[in-house]
Amino acid sequence: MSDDDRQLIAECLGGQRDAFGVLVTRYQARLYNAAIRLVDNPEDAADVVQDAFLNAFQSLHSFKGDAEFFTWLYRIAFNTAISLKRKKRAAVSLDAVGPDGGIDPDDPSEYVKPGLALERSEDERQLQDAMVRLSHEHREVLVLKDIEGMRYEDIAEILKVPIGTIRSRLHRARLELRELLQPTETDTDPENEEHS
Amino acid sequence: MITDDLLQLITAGIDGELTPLESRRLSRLLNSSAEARAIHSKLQADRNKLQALPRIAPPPELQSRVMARIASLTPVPSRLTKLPPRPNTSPKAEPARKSLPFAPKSPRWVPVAIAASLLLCVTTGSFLFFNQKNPQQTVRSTARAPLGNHSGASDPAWAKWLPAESAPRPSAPIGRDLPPVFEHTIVRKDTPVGPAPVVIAIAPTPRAVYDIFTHQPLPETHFETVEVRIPFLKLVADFDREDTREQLAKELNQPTSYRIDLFTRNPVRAVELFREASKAAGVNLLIDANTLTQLQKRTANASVIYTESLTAEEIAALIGKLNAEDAKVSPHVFDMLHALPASPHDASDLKGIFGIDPGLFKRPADKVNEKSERTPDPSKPLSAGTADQIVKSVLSGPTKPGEKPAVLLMWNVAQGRPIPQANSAELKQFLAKRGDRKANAVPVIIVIRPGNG
Repeated sequence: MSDDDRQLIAECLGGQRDAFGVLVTRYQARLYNAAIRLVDNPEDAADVVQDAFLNAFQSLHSFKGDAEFFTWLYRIAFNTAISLKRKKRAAVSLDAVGPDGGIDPDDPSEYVKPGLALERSEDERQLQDAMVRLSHEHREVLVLKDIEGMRYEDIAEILKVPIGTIRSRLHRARLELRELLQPTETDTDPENEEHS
Repeated sequence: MITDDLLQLITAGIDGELTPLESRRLSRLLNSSAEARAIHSKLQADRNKLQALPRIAPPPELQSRVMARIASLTPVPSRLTKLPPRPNTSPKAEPARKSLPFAPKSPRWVPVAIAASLLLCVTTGSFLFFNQKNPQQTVRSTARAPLGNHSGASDPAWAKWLPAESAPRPSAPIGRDLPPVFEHTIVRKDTPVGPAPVVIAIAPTPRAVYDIFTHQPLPETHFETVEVRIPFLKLVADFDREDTREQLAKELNQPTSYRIDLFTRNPVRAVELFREASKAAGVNLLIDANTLTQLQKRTANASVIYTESLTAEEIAALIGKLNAEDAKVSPHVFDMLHALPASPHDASDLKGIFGIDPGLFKRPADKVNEKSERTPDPSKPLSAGTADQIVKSVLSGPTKPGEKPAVLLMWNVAQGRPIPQANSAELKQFLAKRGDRKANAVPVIIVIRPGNG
């Protein structure tokens, strides 16, 4: 764990809540990006991140410091996401960019490159559609591996499963994703648009 | 032929997590197998797409919301904090009692039981005591000789114990054997006190008995008979079977309109699947754009499809197509299908949504009339009404023969009243397209909603 994180945690445990604010600023973007790929809905992702930080704050005294703070935070966030999904029993199709396939006007973030986003919106839509259909286990590992760029060890630490399990899950996840993307690549029917 | 073992090697290579030995193995495989190269290329492309997904930033106010929630937290007690002791309820808090060694600890109900017993004794004693104050006993008992003195004469020594106002009362003839009894004395059980006066209780007059044979017949009561039909309830997954589809068709082949509820765990995906199924079934489904937006934003969680162009068999086939679409996804989106004749309440709700009465219960024109209209007598001149009809059908909306229009709108009646959507472009288009209802068509409302909605 970085010395900076360690210092901030110590200050927070000493009663300085502002120190935790620095941690929130530092990690909220990364956590939100992962959460929204899991729950598909911006409001739910915000809830997941809020609850994750809140749980982390309340459990800070139990953080042993033997792993990266962000790994521990991820684990809390992923558990929160699972609880939320179970509660809501729904995974809404991530068309948060709007029904027309454009950019979500409520999220003009520097993360989103406007020009490129418009060009690959169809690819993105198909990919997001396929991600929604993935099982939660497969989706988790793909998000952590390909979107967050984590290694097997980190993913295993977050999900609390052996590395071999992560490897086999990723194997099945990639094959399942391939299977889901296959029809969209061969479908050239122009009547996929809605009758409106 | 790519084995599963080689496939795992390929995916691990995509992960970038190979050992040096595995890397060499993968290289040899890709060099030697075109199939492996093709699979590797596709999986790599998938990974590239995932990595290329734009990073979505959180809303700007997220941090302030987090800190506000943290600020509102009260200090959480640590695990070492002792709980305050229970006030006088724990065994340790009770004052020490002197108890016999080996005496069992008394349960809590014992004092209550003792109190109840005492109360019972006092009540019984009081009852017995005051029960002795009846006139007959009093007459016998007062002013009698004290115990042991069988003379029957009043003893001046005892007179001082008698109340001053009590006058000697004539005593009943009592034998000398009987001991003297005073008013205040409790009669012992073994003391014969003579026969108690017999009070004959007079029974109340018997109630009139309504003999079924002799009583006047009751007035006629009219009961309204209601035919209760068991709703049709099946899993959508069962509609891959022909017999299930036939059952639904048979259920719908009644001279009435129907409401079908499709329960789903994902209303947005459900609409998408329904759209695909409609396409496959040749149904022209017009989806209101605002409804789709509201579903995606989760401000609405149910939708309604209305059509009056499908026969019972076509509706069953549509559900079959829906099942086929649902079977392609995992987990399945749809759960149960529930079909019941439409009620006037449904018609009222539909009218509220459409802004006009779509004629849910309107019956198509009589067949006899239809036949006469279809085959006019050529010898007779064409009536003005017929001419108008021909002109209208030529100039009216783009209803193609065999077209089966349907419209999908928001269904939000759970909040008390339907949401009017008369301005929907898709609804207007549907109303223009629908044309005359076929004789064997079944007007049907299909509601797609969550299971607990």
